[in-house]
Amino acid sequence: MLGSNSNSTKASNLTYIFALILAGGLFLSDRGSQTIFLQTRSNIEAIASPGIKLFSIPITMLERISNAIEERTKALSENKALRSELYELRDYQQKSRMMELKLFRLEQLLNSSNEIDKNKEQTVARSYGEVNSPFVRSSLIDVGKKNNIQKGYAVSTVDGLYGHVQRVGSKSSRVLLLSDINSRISVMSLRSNSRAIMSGNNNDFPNLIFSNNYQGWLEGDTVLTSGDGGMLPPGLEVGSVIKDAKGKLVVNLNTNGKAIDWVLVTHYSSIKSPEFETDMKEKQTEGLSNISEVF
Amino acid sequence: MPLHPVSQPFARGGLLVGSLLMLILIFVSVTNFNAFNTVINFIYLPLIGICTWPRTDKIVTSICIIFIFGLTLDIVSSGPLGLWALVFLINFAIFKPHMRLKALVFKTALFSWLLVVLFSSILVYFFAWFTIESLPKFLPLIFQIILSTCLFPFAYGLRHFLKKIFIDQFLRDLI
Repeated sequence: MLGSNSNSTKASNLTYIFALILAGGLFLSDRGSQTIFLQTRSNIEAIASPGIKLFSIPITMLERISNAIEERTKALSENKALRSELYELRDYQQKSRMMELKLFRLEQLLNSSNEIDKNKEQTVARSYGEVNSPFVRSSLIDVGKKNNIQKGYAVSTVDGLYGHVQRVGSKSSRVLLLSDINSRISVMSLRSNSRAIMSGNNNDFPNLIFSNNYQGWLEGDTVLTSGDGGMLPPGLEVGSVIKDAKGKLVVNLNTNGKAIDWVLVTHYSSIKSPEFETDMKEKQTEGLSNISEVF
Repeated sequence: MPLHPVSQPFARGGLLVGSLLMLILIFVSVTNFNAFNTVINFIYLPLIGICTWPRTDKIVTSICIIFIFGLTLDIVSSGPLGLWALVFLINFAIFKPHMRLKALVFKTALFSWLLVVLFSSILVYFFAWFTIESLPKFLPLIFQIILSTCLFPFAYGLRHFLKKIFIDQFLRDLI
């Protein structure tokens, strides 16, 4: 099959069949779940990431050239738009300062300051291995366990949420993009406060599913993370609602069509349910009483 | 005429060149290029390494190397484990690049690349269907083929450069 009629050919045929069965077995058992050899995957990614980073250097240079060309062509019109936006924003800034002061006083009166936002820690990382294949949409970032990154942390760009950390290696992490078929995040409409789950579908426009109120979603609505379930911080901008070719409401991600290089990893621990905490305390108390009984 | 694999003396250097080329192409294939509001990947690029695999009698070693590189690509591209290993092995068995009768020239290499990439696209399409349980879009796959084909001359040039470094000048043209 793979060589001439000799003993070495028999060996090569056997090796080939063995490799084919092994690859097929791995493919069948890993299909859809990608849960096999998680540690090995993280280790190999950590080893390969300097190589990928090295080969991304010339590509980054080419990207910069193409971005420069693009920005130059847009510069004049953008300058005009920015100037008019600046005048508008000055008014908003004044209003915002007044509101901030009011809010601070009200929070003092109610004794309920927002501690979650104050404790928010962020890490800047470089994204260099985005994969947009028919199977998966993910990216590699150059921070990992050594930078206190943990599974589930939100990854965003200046434009909005990009994804969340799926696997963490020592110096690199794998980010599952919002458009990946396995991505599910709870979102809300800024206008109507309606909730839904944004489900990736391996194309640029994720679906809105399991909405509590489908009438609450309209084309043009700004989509934010709702923070429901406590997995991601609330209020991160995701995108806007648009209609697809079939008239179904989908989300146009803010990161669509943008060059992703630097990203921000938000350190956010999921909120534990009070039952869990109570159980833990009860178990600790039981343990202590058992120890005191022994003595 | 029976197909005899080439003899050992230039097999070692050839395997080294083939492996290095595959490794470089795997790294390049998982880096993304953002230009003009589009993210471009070259996921088919490592297939160039398969269709230009050196003539060698070290078939068992070749199969092992190709299998390992397939798994590596699966891991670094975060795809289902075994997918690219399967695609590489199937291509290796069907196109038998290690058993070609003549040394590789650009025209032949380009022709075999087109055959390999088209065949692999069909394989990938059905594997993707099987994995995500819905029909994947065919246009992005065609786009990927065109992009990788654009990079083929560079990859071929890189192979030539690696041959110059690692293989003796009298044997270079036989690989």
